[in-house]
Amino acid sequence: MKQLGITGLALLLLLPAAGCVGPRYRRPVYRPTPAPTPGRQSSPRQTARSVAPPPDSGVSRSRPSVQHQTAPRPANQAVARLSSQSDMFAGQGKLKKAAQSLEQGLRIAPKDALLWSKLARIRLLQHRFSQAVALARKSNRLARGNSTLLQRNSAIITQAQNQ
Amino acid sequence: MKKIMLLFLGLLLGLVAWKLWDTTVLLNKQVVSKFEGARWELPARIYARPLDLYVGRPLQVDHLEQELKLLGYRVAADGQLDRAGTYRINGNRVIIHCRSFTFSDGKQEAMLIDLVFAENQIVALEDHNNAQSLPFFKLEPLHIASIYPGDNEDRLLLHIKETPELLIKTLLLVEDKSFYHHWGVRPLAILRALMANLKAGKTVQGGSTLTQQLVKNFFLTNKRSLQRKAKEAIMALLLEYHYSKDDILEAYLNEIYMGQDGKRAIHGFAMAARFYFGRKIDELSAQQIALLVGLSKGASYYNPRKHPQRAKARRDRILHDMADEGLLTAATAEYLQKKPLGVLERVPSGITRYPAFIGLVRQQLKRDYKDTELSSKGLTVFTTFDPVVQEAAETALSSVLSSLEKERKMSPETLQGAVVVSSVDQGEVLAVVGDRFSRQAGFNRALAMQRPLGSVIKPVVYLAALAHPEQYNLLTLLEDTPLTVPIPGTRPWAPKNYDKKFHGRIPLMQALVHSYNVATVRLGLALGLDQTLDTLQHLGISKEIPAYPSLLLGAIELPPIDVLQMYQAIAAGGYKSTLRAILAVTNQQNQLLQRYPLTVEQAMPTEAVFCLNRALREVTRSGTAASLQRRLPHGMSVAGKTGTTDDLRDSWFAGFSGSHVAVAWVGRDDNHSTGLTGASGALRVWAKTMAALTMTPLDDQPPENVDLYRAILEAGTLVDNSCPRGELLPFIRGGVLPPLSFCDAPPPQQRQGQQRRHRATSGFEKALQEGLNQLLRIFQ
Repeated sequence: MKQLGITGLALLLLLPAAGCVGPRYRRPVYRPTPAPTPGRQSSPRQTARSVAPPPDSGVSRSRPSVQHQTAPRPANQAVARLSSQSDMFAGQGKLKKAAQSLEQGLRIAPKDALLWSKLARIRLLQHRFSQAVALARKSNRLARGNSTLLQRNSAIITQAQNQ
Repeated sequence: MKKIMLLFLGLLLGLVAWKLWDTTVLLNKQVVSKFEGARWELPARIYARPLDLYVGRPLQVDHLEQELKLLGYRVAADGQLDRAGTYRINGNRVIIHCRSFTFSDGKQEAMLIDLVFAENQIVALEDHNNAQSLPFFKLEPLHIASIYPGDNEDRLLLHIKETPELLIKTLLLVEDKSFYHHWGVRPLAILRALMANLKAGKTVQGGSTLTQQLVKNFFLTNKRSLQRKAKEAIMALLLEYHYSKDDILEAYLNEIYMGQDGKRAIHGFAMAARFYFGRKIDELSAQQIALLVGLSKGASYYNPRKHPQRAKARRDRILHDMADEGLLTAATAEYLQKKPLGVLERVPSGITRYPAFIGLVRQQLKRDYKDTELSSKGLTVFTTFDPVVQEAAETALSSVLSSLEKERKMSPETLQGAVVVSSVDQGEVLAVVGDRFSRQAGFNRALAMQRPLGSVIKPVVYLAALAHPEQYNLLTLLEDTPLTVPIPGTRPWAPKNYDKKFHGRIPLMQALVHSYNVATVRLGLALGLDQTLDTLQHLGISKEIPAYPSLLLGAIELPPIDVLQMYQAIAAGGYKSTLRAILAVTNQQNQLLQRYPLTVEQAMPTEAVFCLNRALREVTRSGTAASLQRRLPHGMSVAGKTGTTDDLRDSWFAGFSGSHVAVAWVGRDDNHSTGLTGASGALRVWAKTMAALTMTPLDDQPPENVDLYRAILEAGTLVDNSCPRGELLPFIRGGVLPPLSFCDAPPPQQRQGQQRRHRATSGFEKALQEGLNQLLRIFQ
């Protein structure tokens, strides 16, 4: 009995080490947790890469000069002007012109969630409901967690779907 | 007797008068109907996209200069920018005197703009005259093609108010000094000319007024007869009776024949100014005006390209007359006479340089316009065409094909190819190349060719799977083991891998990254063929495709433009935008007829597409397209898929960056083997095209419902975030997750017991068996 007890104790003591020296694979006991995605809380205009690239990926090796060449800073002034121009046209009821200004803006900043949302709004006003829904969803996709924009898009989707 | 004679004479005169009256009435009808209606059939003019200028735009000074040259802008002489259509480059500063242009949304007046560049980007944009910063400016777009009427007459409509005064004065000085004073004919001048001609025994002098010349060109043939001359006189009188002098002069300025370019006939001064000098009418200098006015007497005889001496003599004579009349000082005339003709050496061709893209434009225009409308109504078509992207694609295709032929010792011109490029988020088609000799308007491979897709279709199969997150994720284990698919009525089908090996149990992502055929067929069959077919349809393929299992390996034939549509939807995160080549059409009065707005449709769940794109990105890093790593600028992330068909007949590559989607195909017209895989052929064309563009990298931001987990790819397991191994992979929230392993777990081959494998894949095997059974039922 004593011998058994000693053997049991020895086994107990050895168990943690078994993970290191014994058969190395066994089912883990923890729950996986997703990696943080900080970009989701940033502003919709932000275009910086938000997910930390894996250490062995090509992204991490990129040189700043290339990044500068290939990912230019957003042309805020032009986009802001086209966006406000669109607001002005929409205010005057010139919806086609308003949409045209937004399309122009999207050529400069195709990932700008606010522009996509505004275009969704124009389509809603034009009674092109399925377009309004698709555009608002596209805006959501690019909204990076911007709650104001997400709410705004959700209102457009609801209104369009109720028509 | 006398009475009878008088009666007879009276009758004769009456008859003549009646005949004359009758003819006059008839001619009057002709004159009025032609002059009142559309006077000319005006070709549709097709324009490229305008070059948008704004602070922050990545652009190189030499690319801007290239665009300006294409638009026919000239370096300002002595630095003076007083004429529109000129520019000056001073290091990193560029000043442009932009021409006015009427866009579909209104007219932009001519203005001087000032640009400053730094590090290949516009850092300042100002109105030169008041130094006010401009948020945005559109350069006039490049004219890329016209759709001509049946008679092949090319003209640009010119209004009298837009015509330079010097041109009108010179024209009247040379052709008809008393134009504003006569009634259409000058009987004395005709008599004088008749006498002179009789005396000389040939035509040495003409007595026609400008109105008569117009009548001759507009209504009558070139036949010389007394009857025609009489008709001409009557019609000239009628024209003057009905219409103002300015109306008649304007018609003359537009009607007059000014030259020939193959089949295309150049009419009117505005078109002639473009044809000979590459300038707008208001940009002409005095000696250029003199040359054009000289041409109106005989465009073939005085053709400045064929007979420069004759043309110069005539021009100089006119310059002399202009000085005599006081239109120029004698010294200026003398100075200008010493100047060369300055005619463009290369004829600005009426035949488009971009036949493949225009093919797409015409295909899309046909939905809304009749052929006759396009060739006669003077429509303006604004397109999405980007000359810079087109140039990149054309150069890439022709140079890579030539290199491949040399490297592989093929005879020259064995290979053919096609490239199509669009923007990611709008689906705007930027470039279409349908032939390695891109100026040839022959078979447009980009649009008309039907070729099997090979593995370029695989992402569709994997997307169909990933759209079921409750069953599949990027690490779902697939079996790449021998498979025989029974096909009733024919031999069973046993798909093989390209490397003739089987790779056992592998994660879904790896099967796509390395383009394993057998694993893909097993996956597609387990899903059911209808899932792949549905996904294809969602991605924009409307063609009826039969449900054969070989579809899973791309045994379906589509043109490159359709593949572009599929990949656009994938590149845009599942948001399909129907490919557009046209943005708007305006009529002759610049009124908007139609806009072709941006449309978006959610074709596939964005979460599934994000996961797929992670795998497609891996294809370009460690998979079949890994060679892209050295072919693209360092740090430029792209995603894509190679495609190769049986016997290496077709070589495909389809892929995208954050801003551009492109598809390249390389093959032979006789459909023989090229010896090229997707990676060794089309990929090189694709890479060379993309490397020349200003692109943005892929967007890494996952959708709301997607989480990133650290995963060991080769093991198909997840590990703790603190693990230094592995990489982040996306998984749809609420979907099935892969098993977990310790960070220091051994490589999978050490623990792949036969029994464990069996157990892990039993669900999948069951689905596969069901798929096979379903297939059998379909065929039975």
